[in-house]
Amino acid sequence: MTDTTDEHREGEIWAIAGGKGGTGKTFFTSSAGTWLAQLGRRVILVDMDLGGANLHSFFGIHRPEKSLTGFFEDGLPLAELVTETEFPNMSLITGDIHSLASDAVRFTQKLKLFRQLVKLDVENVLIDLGAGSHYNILDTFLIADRMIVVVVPEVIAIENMYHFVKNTLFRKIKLVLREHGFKEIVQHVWERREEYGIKNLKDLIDHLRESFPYIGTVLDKELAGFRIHLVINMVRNEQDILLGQSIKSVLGKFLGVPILFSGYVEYNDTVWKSVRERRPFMLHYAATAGSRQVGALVQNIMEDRETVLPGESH
Amino acid sequence: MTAPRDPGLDACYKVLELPPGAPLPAVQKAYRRLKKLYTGDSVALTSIEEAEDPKRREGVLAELEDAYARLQAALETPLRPSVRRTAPPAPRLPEPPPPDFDLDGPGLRRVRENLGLTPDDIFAQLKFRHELLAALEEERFAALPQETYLRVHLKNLSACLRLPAAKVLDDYLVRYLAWKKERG
Repeated sequence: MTDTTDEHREGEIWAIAGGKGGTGKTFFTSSAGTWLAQLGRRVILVDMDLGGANLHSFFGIHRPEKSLTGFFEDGLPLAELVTETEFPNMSLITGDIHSLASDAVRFTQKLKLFRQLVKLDVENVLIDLGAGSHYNILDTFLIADRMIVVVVPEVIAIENMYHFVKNTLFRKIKLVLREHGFKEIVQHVWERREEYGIKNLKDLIDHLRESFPYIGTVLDKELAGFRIHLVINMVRNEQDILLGQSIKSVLGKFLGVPILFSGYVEYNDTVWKSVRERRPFMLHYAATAGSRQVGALVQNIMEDRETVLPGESH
Repeated sequence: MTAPRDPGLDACYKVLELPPGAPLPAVQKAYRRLKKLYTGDSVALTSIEEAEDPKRREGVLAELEDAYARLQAALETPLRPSVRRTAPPAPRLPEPPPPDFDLDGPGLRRVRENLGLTPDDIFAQLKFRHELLAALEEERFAALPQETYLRVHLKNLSACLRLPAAKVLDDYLVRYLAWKKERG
């Protein structure tokens, strides 16, 4: 979002999503945030999983007193809704499980949220977007400085993630075309789609690129920095890890979406046990191998690097 | 041995998902990995809608074969066959007639007979049971194994009949898939 060349950008936003629930987005947001805080950065975690907020549970908070509901429904400033944690430089803005569903948030409210988010005095903002592909989720995902999807090595999760990534790409393309004033051309072509043999959005984009080279140039330019960081959670064996490499290949070849395979986290009981017992999970998780894997992940994401695969040396 | 930097090869390296200039062993390893991915049933591949279209999958594979062949040539190594067989090598036979007819089931049988190969010969080389060969040649599609295996059988048979695998797959598989689609 901001185009600075500073090493420590103010308010760098990481958005975490992926389509299906239960893949570990909240876990990743919490553990990555904790790592960044331990590296000395000022971090804020935001729970934007509006229909199923549970970020607070990872910090042993039973019922949050202040939440995003205060922002959306009562118009309170964001700065008043921040909850501190036992980590000195990490705080939360929690959601509320009874709060608005994604599709009830208006565009103007979304913009207001973002303006206030980047004004908070922090170096990293991690946003847990939760499950789903509603365009409110996609638009928030697209505004982030780093787009991160978390998936588990299972069919349904991967299917959902592909669906999510495709929707993200097409939403981005739609927004770019609209921004550059191509809305009428697109509509014109779409209305005549049968003539042109256009069956879906991909066909439409291919047709537009061919017939209007300028559109192709604009798309190439605007999509130049478009890339998604892939995290595979709940890994149990080497095959699960290598799946990340295959997923990256498939998304590249079939959707043209560049993926950085940032890394993986092994399956561990500690997390859900802590959440169930309403204890801050990092207390018990910190010593595990999984925690070190999260640390490596965070480094890779910060540096736009990919994970080392089993059998490789670097 | 690394190839001198040739921009024409960059696209090939990209298809193999390697940095430009990667050496031959890396190229071979990448080719094997990607070949396995795109001919197999990894959940990474089967979960994406776009891969359900056989034409697109074939397109990806064709692009892979082409990129690999060009990199092999550039890195000055003779092309190695991608099909590994432990059967004894085929007997030296006269060149088959060029395939100017459609390679449907009966077409494949004609080629086989022109080469003087009996079902027993096919069994000896490829381990195809007689029933499988007959079902292939008579286009009794219902008796054939599922597509993934069928592709492999067709490729092996093409090699044995000295036919271009791409044409056999194109002609035969399209008919199989049309039949499959129709029956729902």
